[in-house]
Amino acid sequence: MNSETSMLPVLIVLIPLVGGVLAPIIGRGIFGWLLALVTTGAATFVSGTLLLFIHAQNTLTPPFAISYPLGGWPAPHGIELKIDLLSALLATLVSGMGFMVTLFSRQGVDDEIPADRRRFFWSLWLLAITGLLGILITGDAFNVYVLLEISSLTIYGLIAMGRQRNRQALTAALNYLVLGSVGASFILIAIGLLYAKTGTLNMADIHAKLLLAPVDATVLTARAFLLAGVALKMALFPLHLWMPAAYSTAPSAVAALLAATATKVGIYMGMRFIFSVFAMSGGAALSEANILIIGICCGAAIIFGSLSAARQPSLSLLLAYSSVAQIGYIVVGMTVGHIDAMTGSILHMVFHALIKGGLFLCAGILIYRLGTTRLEDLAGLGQRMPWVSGAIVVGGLGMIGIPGTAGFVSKFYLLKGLILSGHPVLAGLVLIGSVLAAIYTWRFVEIAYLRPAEDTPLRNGLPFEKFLPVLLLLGASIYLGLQPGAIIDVAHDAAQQLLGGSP
Amino acid sequence: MSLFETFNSIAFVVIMMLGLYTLIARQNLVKKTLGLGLFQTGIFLMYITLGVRDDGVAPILQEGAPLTYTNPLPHVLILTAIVVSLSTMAVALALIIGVREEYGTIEADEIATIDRADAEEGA
Amino acid sequence: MSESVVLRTIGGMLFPYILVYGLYVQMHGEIGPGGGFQAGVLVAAAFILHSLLFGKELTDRLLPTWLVDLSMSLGVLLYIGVGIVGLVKGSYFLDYSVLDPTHPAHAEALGMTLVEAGVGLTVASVILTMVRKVNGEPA
Repeated sequence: MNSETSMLPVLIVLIPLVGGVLAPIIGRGIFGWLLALVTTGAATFVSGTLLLFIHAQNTLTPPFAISYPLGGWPAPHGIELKIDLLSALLATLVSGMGFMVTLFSRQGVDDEIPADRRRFFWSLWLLAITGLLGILITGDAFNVYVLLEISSLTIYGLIAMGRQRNRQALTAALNYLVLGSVGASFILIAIGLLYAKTGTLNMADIHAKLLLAPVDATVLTARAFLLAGVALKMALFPLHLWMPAAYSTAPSAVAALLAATATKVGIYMGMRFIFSVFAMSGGAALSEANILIIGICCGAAIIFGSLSAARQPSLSLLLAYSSVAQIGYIVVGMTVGHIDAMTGSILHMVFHALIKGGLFLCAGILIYRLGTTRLEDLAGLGQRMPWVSGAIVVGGLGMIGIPGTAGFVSKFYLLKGLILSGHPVLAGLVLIGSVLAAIYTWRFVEIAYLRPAEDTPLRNGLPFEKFLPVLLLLGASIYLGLQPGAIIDVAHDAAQQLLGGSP
Repeated sequence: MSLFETFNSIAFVVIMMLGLYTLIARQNLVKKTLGLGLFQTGIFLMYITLGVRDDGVAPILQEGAPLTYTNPLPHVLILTAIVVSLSTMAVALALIIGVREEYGTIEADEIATIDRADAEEGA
Repeated sequence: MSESVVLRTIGGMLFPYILVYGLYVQMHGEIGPGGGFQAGVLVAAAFILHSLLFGKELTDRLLPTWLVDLSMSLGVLLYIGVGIVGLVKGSYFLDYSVLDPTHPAHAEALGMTLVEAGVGLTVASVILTMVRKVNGEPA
């Protein structure tokens, strides 16, 4: 690794962190938005560069990962940043989504956040992104907990800033705070037990020491606490209760950021701990009994989430419940520990972030122009806002997984992996979920295109800068659906690294 | 395992469960927050117990000091966790102040009733 | 705000000593129990005591709100700044040894002192802000 790329790992977190700290000082007026745009853009550039670099190196000498010792203290005694393909891919995704949503939200924030709070909004915004990026690239178990709390605390504040539009944002944020803190505390207990067992906090080192020691009650308890905590954070059914209220009441920009990144980072934590820390030598990370339990949760998430989505009164809630179902797909793919299923799971993380981020941005445009996302008020939307409703339909098709959209590619790999690893029932659930996704997408189509338009006035025109990120995100999902070669390559290599037990 | 560790191991579970019970059973949001704090305090006690050695002293290098010392790392970790817990409290209290301003109450069941009434009005 | 003469006199006398003790804990943290976290809380406690005894207005005149807001960010920036010196000089983030290449122990002491000063500044101002917000200013 040459000297130009050697400081890049730490820059991924450092750039948004500096931005977040500077925002309260210089972030008045338009400057907060500019600062956020520049820092998230720079972070995207840095993580994208690292992704290309690691992917190129990994094809030469697999498995390849970058290790960066903070303060020059070598691991396992010092804290190291460890970036492999999965980390780099998701870091690019998170910072890229941060950039897109920031691009979207100049006017949205003007609309929904009072002027004197805006610089603090941008500060929290950038610190949340810092925390999420930090979780992705650190190689230290306790760092994961601290960064998780940094991102969670800032996200509670961001959700609560929706109180101007809907006072339920406060109770939603408080519920999320209580559940999120309990989840994070479970993770803290798990890390403590692992430390008691192995005497180290470096994830690679914990893994190495666990392989030598027999599996005993301490390790199993740690794993149970960890899975419960992570499941709370990624909103896996039945621990998803905080999510719909939080997504539907938060400011629209925050909802888009959360839906696209926060739960994905929760899933990343799950993957990292299950496969890079707890994985047993030369075998599956989870036993059949574990897969059964998690599979039941995922199946319930897919069925319940999709059915609930079909009977929600507003588009925001519909999208939130559909996220519950999509989390089910992603987790079911990672659980079985088969290479194709894992590839599908990683692909679905990326594609779902693009599609659901784009859809929540569409909901943001609806709030901006109509002041509501209640489905009853959207009658005839196809004539009144052809572009936005067209975008929502395209996103919906992506969620169903119509061939030609990105959703098809990831579901294809999920199905292949689930069947090849001998779990046809789970594969059937994925198929049923797609049919149910068609139901709730059709519900929108029926209201928007087959009902006569209402003539409530639109408050604003369609600003190009708001629609541009929607176009880019949904366009990317279509492009990746048609030309999936490169991203499948990256996801496949990332899955291989993860299943190979390399932390 | 020394008597101290046994006692602590029982104590931290009791404290955690007291906190969790308060968190679930109380309707008052401030009491819920206190329960959360108690729950986290139990975890701190667990970490600190991890570092304890019988007859251990503070790990500062001095002439003639005994070689048995307590493990400082859990203490450092828990210092961070205490700060996190303090911040969680602060955020929770700030949110509760907002809830009180908007709803005029901090009882979770009354807030749920108000929200339901709002939803029916809007429908 | 307290009306009691005893409290106001004793509190007023204690105020500078609490600040000095905070400073002592701050500087001593490098070689003994103490450091930025504890010192920050002590310094904040001194100002909280001041505002309890003499009222918010007087404390605000002593320590303006904008200064507290500013030092929240400045503390973190000081911490990051020390880290970035390491990056700029071609070493790792937060590598103290580049601060004084001829004498690594001195460099370490200097780096830690600066970092702890940043921590102390941020902790003190954050605690003061928390108390102010919970005291009824719009959050």
